[in-house]
Amino acid sequence: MIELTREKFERVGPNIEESQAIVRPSMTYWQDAWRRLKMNKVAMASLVFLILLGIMAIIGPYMLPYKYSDQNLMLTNRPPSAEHWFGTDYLGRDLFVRTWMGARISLTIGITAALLDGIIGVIYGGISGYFGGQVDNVMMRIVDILYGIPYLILVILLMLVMGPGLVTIITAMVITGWVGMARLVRGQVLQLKEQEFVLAAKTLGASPGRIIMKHLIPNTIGPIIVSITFDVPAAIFTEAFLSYIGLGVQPPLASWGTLANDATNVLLLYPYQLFFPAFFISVTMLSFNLLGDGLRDALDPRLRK
Amino acid sequence: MGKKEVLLEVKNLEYSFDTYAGEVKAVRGVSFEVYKGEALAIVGESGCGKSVTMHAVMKLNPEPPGRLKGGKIIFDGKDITNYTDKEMQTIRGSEIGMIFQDPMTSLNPTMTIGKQIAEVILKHQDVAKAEAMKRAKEMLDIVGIPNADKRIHQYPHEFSGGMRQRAMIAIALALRPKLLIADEPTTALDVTIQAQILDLMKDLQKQFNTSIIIITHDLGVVADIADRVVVMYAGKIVERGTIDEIFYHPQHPYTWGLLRSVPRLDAKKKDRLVPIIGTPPDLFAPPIGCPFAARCDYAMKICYEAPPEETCESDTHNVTCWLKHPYAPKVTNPFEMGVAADE
Amino acid sequence: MLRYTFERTIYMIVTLWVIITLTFFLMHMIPGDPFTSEKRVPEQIRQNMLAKYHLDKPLIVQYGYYLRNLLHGDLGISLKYLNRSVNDIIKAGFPPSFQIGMQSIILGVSLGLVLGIVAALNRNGFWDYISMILAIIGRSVPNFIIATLLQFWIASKLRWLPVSGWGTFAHTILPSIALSFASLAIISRLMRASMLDVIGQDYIKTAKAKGLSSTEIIWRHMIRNAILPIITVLGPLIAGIVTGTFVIEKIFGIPGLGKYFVQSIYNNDYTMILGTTIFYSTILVLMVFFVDITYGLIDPRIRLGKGGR
Ligand SMILES: Nc1ncnc2c1ncn2[C@@H]1O[C@H](COP(=O)(O)OP(=O)(O)OP(=O)(O)O)[C@@H](O)[C@H]1O
Ligand code: SF4
Ligand SMILES: [Mg+2]
Repeated sequence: MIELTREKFERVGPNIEESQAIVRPSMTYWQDAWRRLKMNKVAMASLVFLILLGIMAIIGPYMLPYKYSDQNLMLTNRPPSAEHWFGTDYLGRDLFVRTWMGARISLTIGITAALLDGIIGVIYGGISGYFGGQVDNVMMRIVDILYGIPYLILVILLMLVMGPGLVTIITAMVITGWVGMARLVRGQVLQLKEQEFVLAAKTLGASPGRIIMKHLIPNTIGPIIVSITFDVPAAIFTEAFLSYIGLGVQPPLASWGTLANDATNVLLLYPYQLFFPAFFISVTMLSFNLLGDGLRDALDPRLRK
Repeated sequence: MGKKEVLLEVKNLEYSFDTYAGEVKAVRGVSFEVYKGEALAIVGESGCGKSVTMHAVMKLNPEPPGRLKGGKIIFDGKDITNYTDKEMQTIRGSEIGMIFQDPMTSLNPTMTIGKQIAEVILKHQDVAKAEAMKRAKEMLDIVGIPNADKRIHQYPHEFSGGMRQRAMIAIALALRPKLLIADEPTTALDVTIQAQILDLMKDLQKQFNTSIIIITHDLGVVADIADRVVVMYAGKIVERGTIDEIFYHPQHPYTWGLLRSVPRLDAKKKDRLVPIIGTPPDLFAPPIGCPFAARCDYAMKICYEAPPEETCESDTHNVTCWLKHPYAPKVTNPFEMGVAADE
Repeated sequence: MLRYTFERTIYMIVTLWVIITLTFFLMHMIPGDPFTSEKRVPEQIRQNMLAKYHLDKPLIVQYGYYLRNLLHGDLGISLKYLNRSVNDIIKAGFPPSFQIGMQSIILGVSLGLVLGIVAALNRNGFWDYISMILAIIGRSVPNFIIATLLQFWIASKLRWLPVSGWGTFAHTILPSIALSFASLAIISRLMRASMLDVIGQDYIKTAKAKGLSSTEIIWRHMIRNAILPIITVLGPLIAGIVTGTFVIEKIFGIPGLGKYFVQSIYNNDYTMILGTTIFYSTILVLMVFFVDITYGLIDPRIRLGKGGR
């Protein structure tokens, strides 16, 4: 118990500084987002895995002295060994080299398609949302109709018309894939447009292009990045699916989808051949999804505290 | 006021939330009582624990993270402190009704208004569905919603904000509860609608002889409806008394600040509005002394070192402030002065 | 609601028209007339075909004829199986595909909803983790891999179910499970999030303040409100399941439409591709249409014609 003496009742007044002390140091949006992403162990593990995967996609094909297309009919369907770390396929091609070639192709397709979707979607959605009114009306009607067309069927048709190949896969996916992003960006822009800083820029006579690039896009970048991250595994899946039904990349090129397809044909005899492509497709898609989840949590301004 | 029977007694209530960052001591030793038929107002800054206190009485806080740490709650002669959820269910809705701040979100958007009122009747009384709907319609009449026949079949989005709050009152009072807890019932409404809702509450209070606890930031609302006032700060009660005592003889520096920070109906021209500077303390680590010290113009050394005890000004008026200690320097009460000058 | 239905109907018709037109012209962008690719077609038949389908006329006229035939429900003749019309093949192939598709939707949606609800109510409990693991699998493992693995373990190794083929209910089990994984994953996670969102809503506090028990609150107030946002993803989900049948039927050797479709791609059977694409798209667009209408029926805010979607 504190002893109550008269001197304790000396008036000292308030301590406003203490009552207004700022608890947290201020951080920029990106520092803050990065800090929160770093705290998310699952997302960081995914990021590390994806970086390793990227490195392997670059150097993996050179780690063994074979080319992805080298056939060795004397050594078909061999299990993993010191010479062939992942074994060989039905034509005696080295599966280690082919798996990393597959990684190259799957990652290239996934990332390129997602980025192109993103760019087109952002431009389209940004314009539509920014101008609003009749422009928006017409542009969004078009998007609504495109959105109603079954994605995979259209991709298959486009592949048929354009013929198989890496570029055509990406083109086919991008032609149909950007609408989701366009909708998202338009929604964001419509919300932001009425906010004060944009109105202020408008009053100051900034041009539409400048307002879109300098104000609207930076403020919608969070959801855009998240959406692109989720688009990558979707594109990787689409490629694998197409390759699996024989419409994707053509032999002797390998993607994870064609490797899975090849392995399925000999599944009963050599089930382990399916393991590597199945494992890498799944873990890659998983990592992009988990990273996307982490980014969504880290970039969501509402969670910023 | 005649002879006063206690309806609800809260003794030394302590309530905390266990969050990942630590324990939030939201309510730290709160005591008050509500008499039958009276209206008690609870005022205080945002985050001072008003809602948590009322939710603790109703056991509406999610537990965990919420946790009742201590104290007693006695309602209508029954000690309900340790009631299970099942036992509470018989009290909620039938003996204590509750309405919330935001009528836009307090009603289920996919259920008709009639069903939402009938639901509470069906839960507590053994009546047929048709009978419950009939009574739901009567309730809508009572709370002043025209065309009740038609309205009971409508959904919340077809009601305006004021009408939704009326519907909430209909739900809360459908079973003539002994106590109505209204958590900022008018904050989300337009000024004219606010007055209507308050009038309705006052009417129904008389009609049904319900006790009311009204939580509000608005001293105008307090003056309009309350018989007694409890002033809370940082999870504690700093002053409580009758409406006259609080408005005309406030004793606590925080109450002074509160009264100065809002316009008063009887304001003289020379009275200026003075906001209270600073922010309430962090409830993760509440100060050991008086929680208001960091913002109090009259703060003394002792205020930073030990919490003040509650003292009685009168039978009905209690203050928790070191200024009431005999050693404390005499300060002039700005409100006593103001009243004196008026007279 | 009437206006809403009308609007949706117009969208549906326009979407279908765009799909038909797009498909038609895309198919005709492939060089050569369709019959040159099939060397085995006798000249006489080829001439008859060209005449019958007006393939000797300008493209735009052909398009007109195609649309006209389509309105009569005539999708033309398969180039591979010359004695069979596309309609016949669809009639034969659709029932198995429909059964597999329906079973997976029902399985995925019902199990997903239950799992999502249970997970939300036992946050961080056992079922929450189960649903999380299933969701991770469903989201990251492609359906053709799940199908292959199920076929390998359950059918080939354990011999619990037939490896492939069609005929009994047992034949439908593995394909349906493989196909339902993705929707199960999506629905259970969405339902969990949606339930958690609803749990925090003010009207749940109101319901509790009325004295309702937890069970009553869950059934009467939470589930209905939590399901609403789920309905909107049913469209894309069904699309995923329908396209999923392509590979699933191939893997399990099911004589369904998906298998014919993939086959027609290998065979360059253009009329068949055209016909099945239009058929699939119609089904999907109709499904999305019904989902939209159902949503409108369930959500009073739309049913009563106030507010947007
Ligand atoms: N679920 C919870 N978890 C952690 N802290 C909580 C929780 N609910 C309330 N609190 C804390 O308890 C304190 C009191 O909150 P309460 O809602 O009672 O304030 P209030 O006086 O009703 O304010 P307002 O006027 O804004 O409604 C706040 O500081 C709040 O942060
Ligand atoms: S106890 Fe001290 S700090 Fe607290 S209100 Fe009274 S005078 Fe101010
Ligand atoms: Mg409150």
